[in-house]
Amino acid sequence: MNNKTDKKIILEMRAITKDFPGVRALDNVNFDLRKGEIHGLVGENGAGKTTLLKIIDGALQPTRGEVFLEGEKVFFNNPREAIDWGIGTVHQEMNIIPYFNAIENIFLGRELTKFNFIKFRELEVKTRDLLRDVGLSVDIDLYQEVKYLGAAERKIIEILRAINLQPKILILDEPTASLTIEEVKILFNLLKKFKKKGIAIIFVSHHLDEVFEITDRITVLRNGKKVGTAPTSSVNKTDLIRMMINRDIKSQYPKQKIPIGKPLLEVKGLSTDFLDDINFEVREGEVVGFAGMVGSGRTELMETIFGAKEKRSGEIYLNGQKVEIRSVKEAIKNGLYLVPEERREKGIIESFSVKENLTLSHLDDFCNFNFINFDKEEKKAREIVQKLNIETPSIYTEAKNLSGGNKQKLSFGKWSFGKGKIFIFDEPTEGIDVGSKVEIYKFMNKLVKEKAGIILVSSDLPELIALSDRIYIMREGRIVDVLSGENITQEQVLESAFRVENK
Amino acid sequence: MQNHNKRVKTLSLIIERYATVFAYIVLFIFFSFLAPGFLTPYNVINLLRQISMLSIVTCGLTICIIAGDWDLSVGKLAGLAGIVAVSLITSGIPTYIGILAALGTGILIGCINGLLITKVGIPSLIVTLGMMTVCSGISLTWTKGLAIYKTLPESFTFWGSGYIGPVPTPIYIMVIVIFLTYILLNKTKTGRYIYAIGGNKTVASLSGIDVERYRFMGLVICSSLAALAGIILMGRLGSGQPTAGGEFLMEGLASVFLGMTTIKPGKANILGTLIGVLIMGTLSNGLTIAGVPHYPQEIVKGTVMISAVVAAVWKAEISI
Repeated sequence: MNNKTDKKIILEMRAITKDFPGVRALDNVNFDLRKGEIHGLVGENGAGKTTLLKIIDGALQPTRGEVFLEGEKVFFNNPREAIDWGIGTVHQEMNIIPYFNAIENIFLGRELTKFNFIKFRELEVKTRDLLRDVGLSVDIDLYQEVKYLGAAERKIIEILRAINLQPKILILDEPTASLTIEEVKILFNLLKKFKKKGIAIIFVSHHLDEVFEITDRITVLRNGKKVGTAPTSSVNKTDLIRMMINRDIKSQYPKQKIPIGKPLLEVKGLSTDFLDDINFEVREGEVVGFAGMVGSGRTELMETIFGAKEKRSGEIYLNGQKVEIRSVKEAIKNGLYLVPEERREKGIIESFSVKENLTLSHLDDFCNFNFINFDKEEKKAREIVQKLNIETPSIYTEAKNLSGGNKQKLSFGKWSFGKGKIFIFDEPTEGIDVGSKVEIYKFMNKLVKEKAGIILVSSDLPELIALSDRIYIMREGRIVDVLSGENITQEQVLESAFRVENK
Repeated sequence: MQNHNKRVKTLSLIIERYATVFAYIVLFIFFSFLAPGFLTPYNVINLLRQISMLSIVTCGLTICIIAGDWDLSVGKLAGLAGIVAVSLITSGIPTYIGILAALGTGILIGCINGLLITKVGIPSLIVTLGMMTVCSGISLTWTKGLAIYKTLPESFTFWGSGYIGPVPTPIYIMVIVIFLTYILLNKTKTGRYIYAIGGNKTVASLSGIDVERYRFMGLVICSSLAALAGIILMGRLGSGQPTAGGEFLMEGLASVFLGMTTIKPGKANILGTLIGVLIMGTLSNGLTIAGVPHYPQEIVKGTVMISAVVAAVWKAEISI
């Protein structure tokens, strides 16, 4: 490791800027990668990691800036060109065919054939060569359908498929997300072998411990900008977390102090197949935050409280009364509203008009004996469009024609009337512009002023800290920590959520 | 200038929205000139009577397709319901009981479809494909594959070939069914929910809509209307034909697809469906009068159906 600086630069990115409509995902980012190094790429959700990776592997093209590979300027129009050059990517989500076996998956698209008949014998020999080549001692059943294999074995098969192309650069996006600690070890041994062979590896992970364990250098991105690159040995976790987060953002959030009232919602001992013994409460005028990594069970918890998923045990009290919420309809009747994440999939119906979307969850209020009172419905829709500043040509415009921020307002608007007392917001500001964000914060302020209680689930830590009166931190289906008071820091939240062990 | 552009835009929107309606008018005029005897009061009444059964079946199909479900069993179910009615009535059972039994068959089949689709979770395409074959099998087994030619009471044939005043009975039934379906889909909460479910099941469910219940309801309505069409069909034929009704499926689906290209482009809608039914019915009627034999007509109808889907998919309005 001591002659790192001698190593040849294989990839250099100069002043990369990438614009999406309304958002600058990457702003003037420089990045370099050396032969035979493992380079960690870290940052919060939305920092621009994935965009940067996609520019490297040809899935996206930069708006401005240049990419050099082995000193030569290149421009990839599509992933195919990047693969041909020698860039292999293992994506975050599993990308293999479950009912194919290991050999079929590894050679997918590059099968050896004779008159269109696959030469299985030869492929098996080649697979075994590949396994010996990378020095993998794990015993993988090559003829088993991969759906019967473990998560680590499947990940390894994906990596082998990428390695089989003999790439010069290997990109691993969250490769350990679904692996156990033991499995991570196997994966890391494999990466070390690749490194010795001179392959340059970009390693993206939310698990900072792993980043420290395996990488040689670390680059930190924040809000689409590069904060810096440093040799791993020269930084510690605290430094890194400080580099990842933005310190002075608190002032950008219009949080108002509201007197806290009586308990609105109490959850006691709630368990499902995934959630384990969840206890928490929400009071009048309170914003309760929920933090945790993807897969920590936050969304599942919210959907269970909302009656969309079945609970196994536990009790829910509303205004001190024990309630059984068996369906979404009952939740709505009880004044419990959920504004779901992924508004496209869960929030609004794209083929419905603005008006139809706004009234969908309260349609009973506009009906006499099943007949819709259209005048009443239109009046309400106009009122909400005005109140929330939804930019739309008319209330009859189909939702699919609105911008992202306005779609989000629409998914809020449908819950903005009626007798809602507890509002669950799941990732309310994900992927929307700053202006719309502020309007959404104002909307939340208005709700708590009217003595409602809010549950805020957000991966945007500055937002979560600034808006919440109290933050519950979830990990693996449990609440592992509660933070409250004036001085919650992002470090505290990250430490609990990332399971960083303090030494 | 801007005003002019706006006018052009509005015009092209109108053309897009009503192209299929214009196509029907052209088709109507075409046959009026080409097929002597097409444009006569007698034939127009006849045309309406011919499309009455298809309209009734297609009202049900439209509801299912809006909710995102297929019902391929409608044609054979219509046949089965008709056979149930005819064989019971010809064996001496009162007409009204025979008719109720036929409708009951429709409701029962609809419930089985609905349970398998919403409770067991099997795709509707597969369930109703199986049910189509089962219905056909029951009809053929029951009749041993032979038509039932026994005298049917006028109280039964009235529903298919009777008149009230100068207008055939089935036309009244058609108008009532279309009216009720239109109201259901466009004016009620039920209709809004059915559209919501077809638009996005997750959103519908998270908005507090009991998705399974409304899908079930749609499937039962669809089967019941198919059974009603079967009763009219056998009443018109005056006999029990075990293989009758099959054409309702293809012509019905074609009508719904044609309907998706017009009025509310991209969505199945009852007025569009009616245009579709008129196109399919007028093609049959006009081609027959023009002397085109039955078999080549099938080629025309199949082509029209595929063209409708191509037109709709092309504009990225629907995904099938």
